Amino acid sequence: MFKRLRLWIPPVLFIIFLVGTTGFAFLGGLSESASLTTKILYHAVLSICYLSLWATIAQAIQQLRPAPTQIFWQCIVGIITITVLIYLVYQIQGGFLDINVPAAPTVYIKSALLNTLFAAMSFIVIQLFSRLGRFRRTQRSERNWHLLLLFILITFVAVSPFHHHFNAESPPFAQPLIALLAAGTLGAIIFIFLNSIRLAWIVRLSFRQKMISIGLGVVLIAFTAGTFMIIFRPDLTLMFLSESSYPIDYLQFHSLPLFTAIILSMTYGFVYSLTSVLSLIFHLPTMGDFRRSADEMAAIQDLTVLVREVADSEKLHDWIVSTPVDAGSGKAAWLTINDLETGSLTPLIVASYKIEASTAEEACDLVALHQAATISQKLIYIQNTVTDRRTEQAKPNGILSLLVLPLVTSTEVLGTLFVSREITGAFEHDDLESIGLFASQATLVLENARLLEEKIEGERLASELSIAREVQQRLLPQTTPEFTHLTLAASSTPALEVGGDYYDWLDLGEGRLAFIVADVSGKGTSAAFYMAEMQGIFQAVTRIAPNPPDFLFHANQALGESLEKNVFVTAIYGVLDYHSGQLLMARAGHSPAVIVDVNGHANLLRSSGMGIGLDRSDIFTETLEVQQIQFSPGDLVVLYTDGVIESRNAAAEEFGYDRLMESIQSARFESAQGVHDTVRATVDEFMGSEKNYDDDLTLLVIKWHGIR
Amino acid sequence: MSNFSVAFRDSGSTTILTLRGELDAHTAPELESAIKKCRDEGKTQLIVNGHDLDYISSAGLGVFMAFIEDIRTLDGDIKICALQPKIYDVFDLLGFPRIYHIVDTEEEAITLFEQGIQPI
Repeated sequence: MFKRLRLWIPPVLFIIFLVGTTGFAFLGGLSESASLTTKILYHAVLSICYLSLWATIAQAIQQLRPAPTQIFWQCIVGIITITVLIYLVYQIQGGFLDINVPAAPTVYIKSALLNTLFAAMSFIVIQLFSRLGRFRRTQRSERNWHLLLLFILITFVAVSPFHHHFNAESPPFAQPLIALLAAGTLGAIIFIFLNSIRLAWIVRLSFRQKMISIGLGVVLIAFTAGTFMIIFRPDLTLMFLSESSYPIDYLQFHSLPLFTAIILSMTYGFVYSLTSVLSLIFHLPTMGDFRRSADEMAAIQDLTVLVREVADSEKLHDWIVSTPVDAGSGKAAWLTINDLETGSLTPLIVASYKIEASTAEEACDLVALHQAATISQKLIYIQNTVTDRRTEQAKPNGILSLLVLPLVTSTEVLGTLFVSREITGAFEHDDLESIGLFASQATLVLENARLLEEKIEGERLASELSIAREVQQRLLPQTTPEFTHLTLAASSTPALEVGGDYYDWLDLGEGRLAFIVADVSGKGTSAAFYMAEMQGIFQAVTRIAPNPPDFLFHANQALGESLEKNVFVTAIYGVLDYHSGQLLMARAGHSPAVIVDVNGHANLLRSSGMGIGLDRSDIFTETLEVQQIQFSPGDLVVLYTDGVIESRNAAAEEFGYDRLMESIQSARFESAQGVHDTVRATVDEFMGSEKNYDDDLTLLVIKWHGIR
Repeated sequence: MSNFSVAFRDSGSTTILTLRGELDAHTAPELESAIKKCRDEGKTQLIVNGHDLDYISSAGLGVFMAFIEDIRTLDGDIKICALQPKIYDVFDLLGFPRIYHIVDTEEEAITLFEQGIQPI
């Protein structure tokens, strides 16, 4: 409500002041006898009056679309409309102006109206063209624009004392005023030129738009030149009526400073139209292939670059932040990425361009902006960072306008792109469009890069694990030796790619076979390392200390030093004299061996003995018990790891000892391989279709056949 | 997914940790941090009540081993009580009863602490 009301203030002020000053002059307030103070006051009010007109027009133009061809159209429509109005005012009869005779009422009305119209026209022209000249604003373009206004103001002030109301022939300080006037005019002309060579908008146009712009530009050159004609030599145009004076007379009569401002503004309009048309002709590409807008060109180029860079995410991040800046859309840019691994909410700056990451962090509340952008899934445009509490520290760090672009795919938030400029309201409508387009591309490419990275990483890991698995499988016996007195069968299935289970055997000679089944606590990679160590110990120690207690003592000594505190190894180790059928066996915390005789009697050999790594003192040796068993032909011993016992079915029941012993008993007349296969099949069947091995699963069967 | 929990309860100078559910490789870190917390708070007379413990894997057993040295150096101990027979069997197979006090009731464990008896 208040904002709407405020929009009305400039036009209302303008009308009040215009009617007031005209009325005052009309009623003779500026006669010969009027005091100097009165005259100065009159001109001050008149100046404010036209400032209000300036503000009115500025407000109106703010509502219009700032696209280049649109601006040309707006300018032409404005000039035509006002020219028609000027023509109409000229139809008012009478009002010939003679400085030496008191002015008639018509003179006042005519000059007030003509001044309003010419001023409005020149203000429209200068303000509209300034929009083009300030397209993709930079600090320098803003400075040039403000200096142009300043020099116009200087001429405005310097010329004021020469108005006919004052002692125009010889005002006080005539010499310095003329010098100031000359300097102001020169400065204005220089900056008219400097502002007119700023034609950044041209490169954004398509071929068609350029053609249209050339046409409109030519019309504008004619119109602005025509306006000068109307002001200075209306007798050469259709405007002229014999009983009227030239517009220049009315303008100078009403306000000499305003007249200079009008002339300078129209000059800017003329020069800018001229440079625009010349530049447009120069920029016209000759080949049809170029009939694409720069945006499309840029987009295609972007994509090819992105495809190349996609493999290196660091390069990709750098590229994402540098592109909008190098393309001139921003002064600085930085990129934050969500840490997908930690799931942390704090966005991390992974790349910054033309700004230090720490500066960017200090300048704004990254978390708040990131969240706001990702929740809305739309870009946030902070036109003036001073007024936003999330960017309170931005101004001291050279950031006055800020774009926050969420990089979101349909399913997740990848990061946020920040693009900043050093002046307020710096991003134009089509900057937003092109940066927005770029952000969506960047999102796509970021996602692809991440997917690619995950795939590569996944494959690398998978291939390394499969190598590890191969290596580990090679640590287990590769072939089953043939013996006349016994048969052997074994297998081991890790729950993961690699595991902590181990089985092995070694023919010690003299009719003795050593064998072992061991289980490292835990599973996976760490267990696999200890399993490999166990293999080394077995192969080395069993040759020099084959006796079960000796072997396990050495194993405890060797492993105890390297095992982590919370890791232990259980093992069962035995030596079978296959000539005599005598078995020596000891258990170090391991699941008890199953002995099944030819008559079907099953026994769990639960001798005392603690796990390897539990105790490094004498307790281990003290508790270790050796069992001696005399086999009869057909007896068999089954060693396994707890993965067998703890296998679960769909109802979460454990396989357990009973099922194990039953399955061994049922196959007791078969060879070791047959028993082994039966047990494995029973376990598999028990677990059902989903064979999710929770734990590594190892089975070793030795059957003594006696002398065959 | 995780159906394991540790509850703390102070009884005089001892702290009782009541375990519930399945203690395996996934849930072991919970018990680990529980014992670590006790140790860091200076509570070293720990009783683990396993009445509601339904399963323990080798990784779960490893947790006890990880801390026992530390706790005993601080003149404390971890005593285990009220295990279900099936769970006790796992401890027993591994030889735990030789290095840990594993008793039937909390009271027995408290008494052992009061009498200042160490298992080894």
